[in-house]
Amino acid sequence: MGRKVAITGIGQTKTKLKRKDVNFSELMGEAARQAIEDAGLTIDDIDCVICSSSPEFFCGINEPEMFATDFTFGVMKPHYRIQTGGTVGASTGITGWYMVSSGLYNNVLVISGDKLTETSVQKGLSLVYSPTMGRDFAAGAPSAVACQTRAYMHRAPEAKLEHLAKIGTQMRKNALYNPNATLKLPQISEDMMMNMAWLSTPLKLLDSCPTSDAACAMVLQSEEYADKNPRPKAWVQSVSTIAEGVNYPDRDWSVPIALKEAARKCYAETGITNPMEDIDVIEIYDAFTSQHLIWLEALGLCDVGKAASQLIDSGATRMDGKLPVNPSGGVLSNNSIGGSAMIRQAEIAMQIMGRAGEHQVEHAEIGLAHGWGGAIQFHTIMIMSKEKEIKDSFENRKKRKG
Amino acid sequence: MEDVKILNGEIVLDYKWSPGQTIGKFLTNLKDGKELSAVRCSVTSKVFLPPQGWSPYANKKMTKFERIVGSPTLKTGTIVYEAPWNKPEGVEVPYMLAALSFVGADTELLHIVVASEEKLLALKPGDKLKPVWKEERIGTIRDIDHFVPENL
Repeated sequence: MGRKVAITGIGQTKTKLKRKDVNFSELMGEAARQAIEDAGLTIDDIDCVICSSSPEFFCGINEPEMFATDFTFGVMKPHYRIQTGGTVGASTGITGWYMVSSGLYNNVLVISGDKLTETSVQKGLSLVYSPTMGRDFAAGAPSAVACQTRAYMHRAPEAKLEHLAKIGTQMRKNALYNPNATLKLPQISEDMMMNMAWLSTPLKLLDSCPTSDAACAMVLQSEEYADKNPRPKAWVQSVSTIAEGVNYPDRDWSVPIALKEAARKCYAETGITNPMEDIDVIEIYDAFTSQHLIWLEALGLCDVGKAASQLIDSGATRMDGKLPVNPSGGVLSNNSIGGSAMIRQAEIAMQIMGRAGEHQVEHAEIGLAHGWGGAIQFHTIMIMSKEKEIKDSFENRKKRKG
Repeated sequence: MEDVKILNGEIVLDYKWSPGQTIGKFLTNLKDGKELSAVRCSVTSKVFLPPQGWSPYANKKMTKFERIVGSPTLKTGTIVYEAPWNKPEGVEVPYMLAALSFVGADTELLHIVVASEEKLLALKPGDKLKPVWKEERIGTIRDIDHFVPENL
């Protein structure tokens, strides 16, 4: 393992679906400024910037980081962009971790976001299919996830449309307490979810995320600098980013082997043996309701095929449940793609710092942030704790629980 | 006077994509022989359909083509109700976007199933399908126009 790394500053752009008041670069700059201020630092303290967004077709600017450099404190500094589709925000946070953990830099600013409301998102998403094989049938993200959901429901017959309605309702209710969620539906109910028109069977309209304009930024500091920083911090204990093939032999769409491998690695590195018992809060990349069932099973939180009964019917993942999932309202309540996977990390960091306000989970000591991207094959995990050494956080939990 | 708030734009680009030798052969065989060609990994024996030139498991080139015969079954699928921008030509919603399993292939082929909404709703994984070929084939995946339930 490399050096210890802490998240010490977070920025999320203002709540609103459409940000007509700013262009792409200004949106990214807004998050970047907030994160630096939040960390109690100045621009001069930052020695490297990673500024990322989702595929260029969304904002319609090739190499958007070119213009964003001026706004994201990249001038006369190392300034990078990476791109991994939906996971990009998480990959950017993880790359920042590598930059600091490896000893290359001490204070890294990471930013990721996008303006999804300025073009047809599904058109952009269909362009990720191969033009010589597959694009003829590409029907955006909903259809791919609908196929995944159908496969899950076939394998796990206890999972019904009613479970998707429960998940969608739970997430939109959580979002009401998150000032940064962009989709606010106070009138949300399971009936309302069930009464929506089909999007792509078995998914209905509100089983899908909104399209939003949003950016997120974080400051990551090495142990030496983080220790000197009096601001609250979340210590990053383990990261993983794993890819599956696009169409590999014997694939089961409902079993994300990349996520299972990412979880195996991160659990082993942190000493988590029973994730349901050992983790206090989770943020997953839930662009669609059904992904709660699929991702949480892959994270090892329930028996195989039993996510609907053990996690949803039981109320385990509700705010008052045993292991709250997506207190923020999740991607189902705010999806800019570019910002979404970093927001998962930022939200967990806020929970660990005890700064999540009205959607704060009590006693959040250890948290997990997930990211999803590619077709259905890229997965990331970041595990954080309140204490610099995760064993001390385990100890705190043990004492509290007596 | 109001500030300028929105600028409209459009991006139109032309491409001439090379499918590469492996997919190129697959498309040629569709066109010339109404034939589905897959490749077998010589190390793992897994058969890739559509074919790809490289086995990520053996880290080896795959050049051994095999003809896939027989009708597929539905692996998973979704009925598309909202027409996407690139709705397959000549097809109306609702239609099914489907991952199809063929005997002799270890990966799945993405294609569409066209039938009445009632028939589509009744389709379940494992159900048999059959191809409907185009009269005039030009070497694209749409040389198979679509699949239909076998018992239609």
